[in-house]
Amino acid sequence: MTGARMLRLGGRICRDVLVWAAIGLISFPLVWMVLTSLKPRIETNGYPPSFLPSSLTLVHYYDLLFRTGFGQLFVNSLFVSLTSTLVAVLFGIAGAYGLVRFRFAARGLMARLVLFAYLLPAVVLLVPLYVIVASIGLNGSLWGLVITDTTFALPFALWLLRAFVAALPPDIEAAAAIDGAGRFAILFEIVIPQALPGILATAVFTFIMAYNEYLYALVFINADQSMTLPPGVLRLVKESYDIDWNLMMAAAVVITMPILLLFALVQRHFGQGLGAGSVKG
Amino acid sequence: MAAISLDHIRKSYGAHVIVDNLCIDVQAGEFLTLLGPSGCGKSTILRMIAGLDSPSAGGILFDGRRMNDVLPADRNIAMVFQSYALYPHMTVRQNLEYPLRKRRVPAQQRAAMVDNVAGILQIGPLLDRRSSQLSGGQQQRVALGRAMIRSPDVFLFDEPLSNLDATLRAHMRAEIIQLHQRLGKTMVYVTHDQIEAMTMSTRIAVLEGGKLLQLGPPAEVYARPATRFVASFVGTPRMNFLPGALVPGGFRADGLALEIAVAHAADAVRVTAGVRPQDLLLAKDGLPARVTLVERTGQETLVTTSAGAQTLVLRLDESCKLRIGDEIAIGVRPGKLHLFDEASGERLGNDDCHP
Repeated sequence: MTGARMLRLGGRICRDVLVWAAIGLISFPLVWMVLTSLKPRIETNGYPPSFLPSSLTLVHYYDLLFRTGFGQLFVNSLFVSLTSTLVAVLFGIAGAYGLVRFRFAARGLMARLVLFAYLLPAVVLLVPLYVIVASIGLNGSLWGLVITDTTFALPFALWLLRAFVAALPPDIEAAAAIDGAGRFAILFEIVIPQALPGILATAVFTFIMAYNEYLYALVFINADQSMTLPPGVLRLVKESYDIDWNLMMAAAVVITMPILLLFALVQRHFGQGLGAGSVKG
Repeated sequence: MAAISLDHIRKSYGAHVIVDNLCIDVQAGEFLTLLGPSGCGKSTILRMIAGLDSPSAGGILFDGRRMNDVLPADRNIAMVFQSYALYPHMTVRQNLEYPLRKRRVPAQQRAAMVDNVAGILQIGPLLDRRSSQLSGGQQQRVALGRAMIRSPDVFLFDEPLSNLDATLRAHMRAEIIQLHQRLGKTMVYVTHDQIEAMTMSTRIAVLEGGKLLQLGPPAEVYARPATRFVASFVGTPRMNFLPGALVPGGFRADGLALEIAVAHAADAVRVTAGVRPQDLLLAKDGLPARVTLVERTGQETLVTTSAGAQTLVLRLDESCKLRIGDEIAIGVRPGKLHLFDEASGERLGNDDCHP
């Protein structure tokens, strides 16, 4: 083995070790979360702490799903997140297409205003939005949250989608117009299929944004049966005098599931350039 | 088949004029090429014919019917783009079917039409592939097929061959010529490649800066270029130009011992003389020059020489034995001098060439 080859091999081993160390560091809390949710309670607070549980139990999941209001929180969160994602992406794609392809007065200004709306800190709009939502009688309702989540998700979605639509070659839409497609046919049959990876990515990010939303859910919702996960779980955990770590970790695992599932479903679209090869030069 | 009239077309964005007061009549069944350098407005003209852009002023007429406010879909045209513009998320078959679907052609008929076009263009084996999996030449074929499939009145081509390699380009050029002969449809073809323009067209419209410089059959554009720009743009290798003046004896080149008798001799008019490389020859008592470059293509030899401050390129046959540094004397073939007004660039005289 020559010196150069040894050096290269050494470099590769170093790199691999570093990568695995980073992965370990990042995933440790997640692994800890899963393990804790499966440990018997007695083991969780023991000292010294055990990494691998001596026996596995699903009792915390059972407690979480059947002895607490977690199920309702979960359903509420999914409803709010999915609805606002759907609305944001639907209007976002139409708005992005309009901003990119139509020429109208102050087009650039309008695009920047959208970004500006997104950059506003959520807390600045808290009171005005509360007044608006209350005045239409939706405070305390999940629909109120859908409205406020969409308020933040739509500019975000619009801004992301605008970049995806702008990257599409306009010749293809011109060809479709000549082939006989109207504006809506172009949008639904030509633009959306090409922008699908971007749309899915936007949907995932929008979903996570709404799913994680804490402040508005905390302020707008008082009744337990309308609460979403972020403030709801906090209340769940704080209800008991001492914190039930196993229950909390089980909740964290279940909360993570939809996100994991979402990534698993759309990951083959991430980074896959559907448009590659259609236009050269 | 349709005749197209561009009637005093103007296209501008604010103060930026792209096409200025353009009039062209394209006859039914004609193959008209819009030829010019990039930025001359040729693609904009094509997009206005297609209805993708609308003119700022003037009318676009198909068979005398004003089309300005007619949607692209309703003009019964087909367009082939430089980028091919195939639908990347569809298979080749779906690409070909798309214009038929939009016109509600029944499925059975659609299938027959796809098979027919696929047969003509020999893309049958590709029908179920995604268009993004095809090579450039195959994509170009599919784009042609998508244009052909619904028998449009007018075919528009926007530099369709410029992304292909040289061999494929020559091949596709021949295919488009055959397509025109077989279908006999009106075709408007945009290119900056004068070989394409010369070989394919019924007539060529040469454009520069949004203005029409010359409109005529290829042979006429080549033999009697209307302006100095046309003369320099059409023909490879490029025409030689010599600044000079018309004097009573004929044309006298600046700073060179070259005087050529011409019919239109006048007094002291500043002109630019143009002569094509194949119209220069070796002559005993010609203009002395020194060879600076010899390029042999196998069938001919291009000899670059310098005479005074001027550079002249000669096109000689393959038996030429000249080498760099040789001293030669150059003559002009009688009657092969083109004269252009120095200020305006306009051609002087109506003859093919000046005797």
